[in-house]
Amino acid sequence: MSLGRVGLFIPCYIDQVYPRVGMATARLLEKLGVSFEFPVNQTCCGQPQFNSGCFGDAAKLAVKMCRIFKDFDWVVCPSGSCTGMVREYYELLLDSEKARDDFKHLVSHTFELCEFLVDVLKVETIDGSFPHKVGFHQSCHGLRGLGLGVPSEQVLPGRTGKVMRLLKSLRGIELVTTGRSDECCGFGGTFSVFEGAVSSFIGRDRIKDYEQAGAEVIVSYDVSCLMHLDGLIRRDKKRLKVMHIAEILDGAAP
Amino acid sequence: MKSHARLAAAFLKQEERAHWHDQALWYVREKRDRMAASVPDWEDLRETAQAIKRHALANLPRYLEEFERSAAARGAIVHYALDAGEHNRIVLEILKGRKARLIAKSKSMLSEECGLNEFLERNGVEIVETDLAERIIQLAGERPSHIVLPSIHIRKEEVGDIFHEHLGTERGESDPTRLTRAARAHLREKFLAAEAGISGVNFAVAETGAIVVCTNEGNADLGNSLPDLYIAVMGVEKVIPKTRDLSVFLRLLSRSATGQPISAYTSHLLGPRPGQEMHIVIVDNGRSEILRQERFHKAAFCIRCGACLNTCPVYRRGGGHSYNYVIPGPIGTILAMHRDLKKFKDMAYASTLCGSCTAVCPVKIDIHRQIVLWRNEVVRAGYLGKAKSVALKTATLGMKSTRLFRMGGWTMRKLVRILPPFVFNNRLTIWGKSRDLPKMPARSFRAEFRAYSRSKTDVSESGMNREG
Amino acid sequence: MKDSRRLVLDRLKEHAIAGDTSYPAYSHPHTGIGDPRRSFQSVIESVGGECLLVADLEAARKAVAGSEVFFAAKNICSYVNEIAEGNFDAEAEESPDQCAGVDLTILRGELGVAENGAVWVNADPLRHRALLFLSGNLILVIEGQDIVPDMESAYARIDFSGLRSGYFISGPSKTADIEQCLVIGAHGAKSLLVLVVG
Repeated sequence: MSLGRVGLFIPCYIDQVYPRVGMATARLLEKLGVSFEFPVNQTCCGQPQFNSGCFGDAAKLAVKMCRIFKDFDWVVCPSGSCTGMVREYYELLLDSEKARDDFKHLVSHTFELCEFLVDVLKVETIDGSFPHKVGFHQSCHGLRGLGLGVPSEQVLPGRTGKVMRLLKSLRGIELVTTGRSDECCGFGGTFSVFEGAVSSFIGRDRIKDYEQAGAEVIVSYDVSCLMHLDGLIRRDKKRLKVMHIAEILDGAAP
Repeated sequence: MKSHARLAAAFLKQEERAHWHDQALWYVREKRDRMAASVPDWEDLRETAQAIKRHALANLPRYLEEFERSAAARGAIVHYALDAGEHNRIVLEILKGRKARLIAKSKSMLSEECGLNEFLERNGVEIVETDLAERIIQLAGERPSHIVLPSIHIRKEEVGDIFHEHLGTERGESDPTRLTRAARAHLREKFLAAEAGISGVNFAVAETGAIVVCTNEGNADLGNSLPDLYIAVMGVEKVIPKTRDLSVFLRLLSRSATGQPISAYTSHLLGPRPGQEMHIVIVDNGRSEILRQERFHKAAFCIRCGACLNTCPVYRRGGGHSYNYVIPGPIGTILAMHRDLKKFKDMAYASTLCGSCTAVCPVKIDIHRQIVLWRNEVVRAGYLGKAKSVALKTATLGMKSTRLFRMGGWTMRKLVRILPPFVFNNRLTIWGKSRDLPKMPARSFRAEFRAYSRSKTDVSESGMNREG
Repeated sequence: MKDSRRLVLDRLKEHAIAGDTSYPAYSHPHTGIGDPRRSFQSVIESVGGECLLVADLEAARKAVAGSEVFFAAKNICSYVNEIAEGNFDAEAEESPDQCAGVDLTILRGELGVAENGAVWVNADPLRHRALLFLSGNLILVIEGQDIVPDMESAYARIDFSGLRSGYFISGPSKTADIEQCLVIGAHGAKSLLVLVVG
């Protein structure tokens, strides 16, 4: 299929700590016939700096990102929060003439993986099976920022989320119903460190909700949330597993 | 002054209480959701509400003057106060003018903001809060922990203790109905004896000079109907252009605040009742400053519904007293920043930026976006704190250079894999205090991908995925 | 104070609200109301009030005469003599606090709002509007044809030009301030009965 140049944007913590998510993303895109490149000079989109209020430092990284990806027609990222960083917040960081054109294109053509599948490739079903009870964790930035799902706060009758549609297309999958359908996991980036007590308390509440709903695996499009939840799951020696949606769509088992 | 992080951590130590508090507020959020879903035009109403606010606040002097004229024509006496101090002095002067020493007061967040009660008490005035929750915390000597449900943090047994001490109810009585009846009797006496009533204002209608006050208890109405002196205090931003605009805000307010279709009483007062002197005090106290800030002006749209507090996962877990400003939670944060950036800076970091607040706000304030923008203000003012600044600057250096990034990552993975888990997963490391570190992989993605790409035998032009 | 007035108004002249700040044209009729009387009734009941749909004044009279609240009330103030007679004349009282002992007040409302069970009460005919809140219980009477779907249509019908005070009353007085437990009858009326006539 002729999409033009597709660039793979791999978040820093996926590159360094969760390479399997990046590999699953790569294999999935290949299976869907997408030709892509992984620009090796990329490091980080600047979200940690931005979230802490260090816009100056974040801007330096944003400029680097724009430079690296400016010649791609599409940029695909297996993370709702990093994609959100580019689409929603880069405009606050890049106001120099030089960065402006690069940035405009990047902002309108950076997609989280699932929305790339649904909105660009027009793929809503994946030929695969995942016969397990899944707790679908709708990570905040992707949900409310990118519109990957239908937030529980909003009154938008009759809409189903795009990621939900992809998940439901897998044979045998059972999405459990939790008490709170889209409460935050409590990670919040640097929040998890500077407000550790609150962060862990919220995370443990989420885990209990998934447990009580009967989930075997917690799935999300953001591995940062999963990293936080998994840290608590393993500390509390619970039996839940966590998987990134790319891994499931790529055919991995828990 | 303790930071939000410390105060919240302390609150969370009482796990059962924290869970109870979280559940209580989530329940209110759920009621809000059901109510919102029952209004087909809900999202359009929010849009219109914001549009009305934009218009009203962009033309505030005109509408304030119109309101003033209309209210004065009905017999109300209108005052303007630049700041909290002036507001307090004006109220005291009015009370002194009628020798009023016992005041029946209904809820007003503005008066909390100005510290009115303490000021009046210092000047020999007895001020009795008549909103049940406000009375409970007044007797307990506490600050409100929520702008709509001020005593949400207090359990019924504790209310029983407070009432036993101050109202003479039986020791150990904790039944909400009996306690409420006791409060009704006690406060009815105060209403009948009060020499003046003071209340806040939910909306002030420019077109007619009406002030609108919403309550479930009817306390504001007793307070503004019984005494011969009534003072309504309001922020400048409470003015709305027309009567019909009330329909938009009232349909959103109670549904957002408590999950009710409307409050039990929605009172429209146009001037004093016969034989009564009515004053309206219009207060700036920093609101004009908020309106002049491009990034932050929407904070002035707030109609004080409290929905953002109810929906905030951090507020629900840590409670309102973990925030040092008079108004807690998300809206409290973006208002506190204007009040005193240095003093309240920790509030800006008491958020996961989940965005739920923005999604529930009836007037569509971009609360979570403002919170992160305020973090930038904290950094620019040099208030971030050495430890955080150094950590982030180091991280930036490491990210700017691809080589440094790869080396840093490799080192981290190596160390975590080599060293025994307890080095990181212990109470002393911030992450490891309550979570395990993730298992570190042997190779980074880039290394894996390079190996994977090289191992593929298919080298056709379009099929080969390569490193760029 | 004159200075403060000028200062406040001058300060507010400048603002950073960008974009379109014109007064919005809007219309948001509540399209989810099926049968207005039934919707109105069910909302009132869901907020702790009682609502009876009666055919005519005679039926209204019977309903009140047979109601527990009327039976139990000692001091009754009625502004709707066709339905029930009272024994307390609030109009003859000099000051509002003299109405503190009223157990039941019967009053006409001007309209009802189906989306939230509210009754619009024009308090100007009352000598003491405090009566509405001092009274231990309230009975409000409205005509069935005066039930409108929503607040927008309600406000379109209310004339504020000569009004001194008016209230939307939806349900009895209440509070949930103690552990979110709903208690009916905080400071105002402990019960509300709305009679919809015709």
